[in-house]
This record gives sequence, structure tokens and C-alpha cells, in this order.
Amino acid sequence: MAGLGDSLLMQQLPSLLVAVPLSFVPLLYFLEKVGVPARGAALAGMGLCLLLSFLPWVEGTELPISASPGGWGGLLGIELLLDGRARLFLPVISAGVFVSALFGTRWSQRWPLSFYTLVFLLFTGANGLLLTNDLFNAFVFVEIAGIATHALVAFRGDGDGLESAFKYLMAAAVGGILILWGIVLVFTATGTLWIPLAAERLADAPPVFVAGAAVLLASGIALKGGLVPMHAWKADGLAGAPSAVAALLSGPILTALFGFGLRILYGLFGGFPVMEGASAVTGGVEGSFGVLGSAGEVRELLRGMVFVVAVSSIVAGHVMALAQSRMKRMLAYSSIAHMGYIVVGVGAGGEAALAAALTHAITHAFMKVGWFFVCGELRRTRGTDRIAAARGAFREAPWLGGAAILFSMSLVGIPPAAGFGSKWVLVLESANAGAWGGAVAIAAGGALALPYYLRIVVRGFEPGRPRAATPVPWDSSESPSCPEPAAELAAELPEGAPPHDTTGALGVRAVAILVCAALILGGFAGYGLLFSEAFSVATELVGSVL
Amino acid sequence: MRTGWALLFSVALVGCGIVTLIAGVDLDTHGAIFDYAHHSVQHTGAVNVVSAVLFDYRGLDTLGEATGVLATGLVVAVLAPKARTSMLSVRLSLVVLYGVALVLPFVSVLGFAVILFGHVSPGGGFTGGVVLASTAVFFAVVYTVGGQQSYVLPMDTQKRIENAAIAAFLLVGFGGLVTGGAFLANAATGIPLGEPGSLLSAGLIPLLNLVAGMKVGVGLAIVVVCLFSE
Amino acid sequence: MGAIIMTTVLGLTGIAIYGLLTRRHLIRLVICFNVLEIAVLLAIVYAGFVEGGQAPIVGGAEAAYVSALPHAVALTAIVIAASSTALMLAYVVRIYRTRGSVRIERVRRWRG
Repeated sequence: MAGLGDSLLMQQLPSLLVAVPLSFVPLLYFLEKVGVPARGAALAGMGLCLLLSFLPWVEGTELPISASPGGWGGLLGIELLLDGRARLFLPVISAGVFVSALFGTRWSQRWPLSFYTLVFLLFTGANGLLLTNDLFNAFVFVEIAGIATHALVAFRGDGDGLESAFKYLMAAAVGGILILWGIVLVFTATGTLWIPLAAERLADAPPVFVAGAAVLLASGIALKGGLVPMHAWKADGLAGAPSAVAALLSGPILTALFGFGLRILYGLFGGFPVMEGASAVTGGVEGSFGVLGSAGEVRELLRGMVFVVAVSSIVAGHVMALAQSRMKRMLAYSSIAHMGYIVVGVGAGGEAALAAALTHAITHAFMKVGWFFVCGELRRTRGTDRIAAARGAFREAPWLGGAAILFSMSLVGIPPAAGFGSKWVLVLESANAGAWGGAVAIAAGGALALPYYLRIVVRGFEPGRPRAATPVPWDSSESPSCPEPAAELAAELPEGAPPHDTTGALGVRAVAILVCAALILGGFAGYGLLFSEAFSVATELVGSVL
Repeated sequence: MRTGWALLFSVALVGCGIVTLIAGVDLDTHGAIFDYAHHSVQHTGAVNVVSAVLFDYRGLDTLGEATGVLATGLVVAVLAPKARTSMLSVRLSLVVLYGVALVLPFVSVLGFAVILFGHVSPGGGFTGGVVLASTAVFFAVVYTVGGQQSYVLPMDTQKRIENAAIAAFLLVGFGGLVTGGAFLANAATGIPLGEPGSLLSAGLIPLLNLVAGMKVGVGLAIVVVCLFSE
Repeated sequence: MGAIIMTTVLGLTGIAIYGLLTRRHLIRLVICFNVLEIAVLLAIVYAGFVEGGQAPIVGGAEAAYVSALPHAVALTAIVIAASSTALMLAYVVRIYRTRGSVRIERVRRWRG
């Protein structure tokens, strides 16, 4: 490994992390023309990208690694910056994409080329969003990831999938416009799109521009992430998505979006000040915290708004999740609540709370990906994701039940699973910082979440099968009024295409679920390690502001 | 009720904006800090500064948006049914049929000219690509989608061009990485920049212009023709 | 000059947001999204305006040019918006074929 640290490979790693997934888009097409199956080539490519994403962890790597496509640097061109935050999140994104692609969807066997092309585009978008240090470039990547994601949702081809895709596209597009508005304001005020320089020059900009840009960027990111005032699309957007796509959406995409949000918050606006009482290493309340922190009252007002959004996301997410009768919608609402947890950690400021937010984002990604896979397995055997239909499913496949229990424990925050640690720190930190609303909401959130996971697990281990026990393709029992186009789509299949019976891939699916389970258990075992890594990233972020 | 709230919300939003305007925000813009116009010829050899920014300084943005068009074409092609034209069954008069045949070659030449001279005059890959796509649309409207597919470009060829264009863009990128030390490097690769203002100048920018033109032209043609065949 | 353009931008934004919140017809929602996009594009292009500047095609004599960066950015944003619009329209067409309507209240099935 000698010399790897300063080799061309390492210097150009940020460019490669974007370019390599992208180059598999045409590569898959041409490989299929010469007879290489798309699935094999795609999985190999994702393995390669997974490997690349672990490279920054090699001993002796000096962070941050800065690369600039075109070689012009940040002021003239675009800078891609691989810092500690990106290093922490890159493997999460790659692993999430990899296991989701492994799990696959019903139509990924019919149109493997289209499916894997879109997954690679999403991968490119997520990686680029995490790495870029340029405002407009971030907009381009967020839109690529968005287009690829709702295209994956729409590919299911029936009415439900399209309805979901349209809602998701509308929300994502309007969110993108809000982000673009924020970027335009920053550019008008500073004359540059390079985040570090823009942050420097924002200090002399008219406060109206700064506040406007902050609000627009924050609401754009919140709309894309589905936080409370703008959450309406999310459950609908996920409900019609195939399970693996829903997993991609709530794992890698949310992680990348969170990473981008952190860069905007800390890189551009100087972050939230550390609250009094929070275990801060680097700063006190009186420090100068960038442009947002220049006036104490504005600062506290903004923090108050962030807490209101976070707490209402937690409460509304859990309450709505309790009321659902379908698993995917339930999981979508639970995602909204967990986004709220993360925002509490960010809002509380201080390294410990921020580190807890980072670890929670990572563990949440795997918990949700895993739960969506369980949901996909249930849907495959039962033909629907109705909770009532899960009856007896775990009795037939105890390993699935075991995985479901593990994921639920982690999401609720019961000690042996990884979700516990970050919640514990979050509660302690927000209580220390005097943000009692956040602390109470997180603690109560677990209590609210327990019944709805318990309901599924208990139902799954009940003896017997639901009455309509035959697997119904395309969930047609759910929509009797309209003719579903499943037959029409099936008619468009080329001769000799495999029937959409996926039993052959069960082993692979099981592996995908178990990988997530192992990551969560491993996450608990290595929790101290993960947390200390996150803590150093948090220190770097907070420290960069001072 | 709903309308009222929406009206209130949008009026409040615009009001906020107007209040800040009245509050005397300095509205004079000064453009970017970096003066591209006075450096781009020396840096890239391109006289058209917008082309220089698009394909050299910020090549990654351009690559990204090109792949966005690819994804769109992919999805629209799958969602739309295969060539079943109902909306365009109107019989067009002879004048239209022959007139379009007369105009089409000139439009395609214009498209290629806009692409190829993109680095020395207004225009470029995107603009020219849209002109090229419009010829495909012309053809599909007048001679039906089936005609467009069988005589001009079959769908399969269009997809091949699209993927080849992305591949070419990436190859230029990796070439720059190996020889010039940065992904998508242009002048740093050692390629001669040529006499500014001549057709063969600005290093790799004309090539990328051509690639982007093909990509956008074919991509938009796929999208529009697929929506037609509905 | 600046005030006129900014007022136009704000007006277009207000119209678009009002439309997005009240319209029930899917195609009209797509149009509202486009109006919103155009407002932002206008703001972007204005951000590169320099008093007395020429189009950024460098000619012999030294002159003031408008900034080229916002133009390039606007081009990219236009292409991305066009992709989104094309996808929206494709979904609308497909929704019309499967559900028989393009009005939200007749199309939507998810509730709660």
C-alpha cells in the first residue's frame, strides 16, 4: 500500500467516485450488445464503486482530498472535496445501493438494463451531491438523483406507481427550484458558486439576501427530505414504489441529502452555535458563528424554528405511522420521524449531538433499507403490503421474522441494536442543551413507534394464513375499479422473457436482508468506533466555522 | 377556502419580496467575481465564453445534464407504447409534404453549423442539438412516427448514438485524467489550442460540442417522438 | 432596470405558486412548474448582467462583457427543467391511459 496515499488514484478519487458509476451507464448498454448480462456487469461495477468508496479509509490518507474536473480549481471551475463527512457517508451510500440492486425488483428482471442504468445514475447523483463543493453543481446532481429515483418508481408501470412517481417528481422538482432560488440569491450577493468563497463573501452581503438564501435552501432540502410542513408527498411517493426502490430512496438518497445539508449549513452559513450546556469542545456561545450567528436573536429564532420543524416531524411522523394499514406507508411516515431526530441533533449544536445525528443517519439508512426488504419479501409471498396480510409469514420464514425483529428493535431504540446508542446521546444532549421539547419528543417517539412494529411482528408469528392467501401479482386486489395495465405490460414482453416468478432469487434476497441485519448488529458492536469517527467529523465541521 | 389560503400565501410571499425591494436592497448586479471574458481565450482558446464555461471550466455540470437527458429518454421510451400513432392521422396537403422535404436539409445543416461553430460564435452543442431534434420532430409530424423511425433513425440507432455520446464524453474525461492530471482537462493535456476564432481551435471544446449536440439532439428526438406515438 | 426585472420575477413566482396550490388539472400543474422555472431563469440571467456589457463573444477590441457564468448555468438549468417537464408529461399521458382522467380528485387513490 506504500505510495497509495499520494498516487494519481488518490488525488483524483473525488472525480473517480463520480465518473466511475457514470461510466457504467454507457458501458452496461454496450456490454449487453455483446452479450454480457446487465445484472452481472452492474453488480461487478457496483462492487468496484464500493471498493473505491472505502479507499479514503486506507491508512495514511490525508483528508480533505480536493479534485477539480477540468483542473481549474473552485473559483473558475468546480471543486469536488472529499472531507471527513464525505468519507463517513460514502460507504453508506455505496453499500445501500449495492444491497438494493442485489435485492432487485420484480421488473428489474424484465428490464435489467433500464433498471441498472437508472440505479447507476442515482448512484452518481448521490455521490456527486456528497462530494461537490460548488452550489450549482450540487443542484445538477440533486436533480440527476431525483430524475433517476422517480423514474425507478414510475417503472412499475401501473397506476399506483405512476401516481407515486408524479407526486414524487412534482415535489422533487419544486424542491429543486427552491434550492436553485437559494443558489441564485447567494450568487447575486457574492458573485461566486464556490462554497468556501461564497461563505466568506456572504459576511458582507445584505442580510436580506443571506436570510432569504438560507430559508430557500433549507426549505428546498426539507421538501426533498420530507420534513413536516412539506411531508405530504412522501408517503404517497413511497407507497407505490417497489420495495428495493423505496429502500434506495430512504437509504442512500436521504444520506446524501443530509450530507449536502451539512455542507450548506456548516460550509456556507457557519452552522448553528453550540447551545449552552451542550458538551462542546471547540466553542462557546459567544464565538462568531458565521453570518447566521451574527445576531443573537436571529440565531435563537432560527434555532426555535428548526426545533419546531423537528419536533412536529417526530410527532406527526409517528402518529401517522400508527394509523397506517399498509407497511410501506407506515415505513415512510416513520422515515419522516427519524429525519426529525436527525434535525434535533443538528439543531442542538455541539459535537456530541452532531455526532449522534451523523450516526443516527447512518444506522437509520440500513434499518430502513432492511425493513423495506422485509416488506418486499412479504409482498412477494403475500402479494400485498397490507399489515393484516402478514399473518403467519414469519412463522413460515423464521429468519425473516428474526430480521424484522432486529430492524424494529433498532428503529425503536431497544438496547442490543444499533439505533439505541444514537437516540440515547440525542436525548441526553438535547436535555443538556435545554431543548426539552426535542428530548421529550425523541423519548416519546420510541414509545409511539413500539406498537406499530410490534403489531407487524405479532401478526407475522400468528398461526394460519390470511384468507386471501394466494399471491396476487401487481396487487390487483387493491384497485378493483380500474383495469390495471399489468396484462398490457406483460404483452409487451419479448418472447422468451423469464416469467416474473422470483423464487430463484430467494437466496440472493435473503443475503441482502441478512447483510443489513449484520450491519446493524455490527453497528452496535462497533458503535463506539462509529461514534468516535462521527465525533471527529463533527469536531471538524464545528471547528471549520470558528 | 383552499383558494383563499393559496391566494393569501402567494400574495404574502410576493409581498415579502416587494418589501425587501422597497427596503433598498442594492439591485445592481456585478456578475461573477472571476472575469471569464478576459481569460477564456488564453485559458481555453474559445472565443465564445459561454462555450468555454460550459465545456471546459464547468464540464462536469454539462456531463451531468447530458446524463439527465439520457435518463429521461430511457423512461419516456419505456412508458410510451411502441409506435401507435393516432393523433397525427390528419392528411396533410401536398404543399406541406414537399415544402418540409425542401426545408429539412437546410435545417439540419443549420443545426450542424451551430454545433460545429459553437466555440467561435453564438451557439453550441445544446442549441444546435435542439435544432437537430426539431428536424426529427418535423419528420415525425409530417411523415408519421413510423416513417421517422424507419427512414431517418430507428429507435435502436438513436439509443446507440445516445450511449456512444455519453461514452465519448467520459472517454475525453478519462483521457484528461491520464494525460492532463484532471478529469475533463482540456489545455492541460497538451492539445494545441489553435488560432482563436478559427474552426480548429479551443482544443477539445469542439469535440465536446459535437458530442453534446448529438446527445441532446437524439435525446430530445426520442422524448418527443415517444410522446407523439401515444 | 433591476427593480423591473425583480418585480417580474416575483410576480411570476407568485402566479406559479398560487397555481401549484390551487389547480386540479395535472397539465396545469406542469405549466405552473414551468412558470416557476422561468422566473428563476430570469433571475439567473439578470445576475450576470453588467451595465453596458456586450454578449460574451470575445472580439478584437477591449470591451465590457456580461458575465458568462450565469448564461452557462441557465443553459444547464433549462435542459434539466426540460427533462423534468418531459417526464411529467409522460407520466400524465400514462396516468390518463390507466385512470382515465387528468384531474387530481379522479386520479388519486392514496389517502391518509
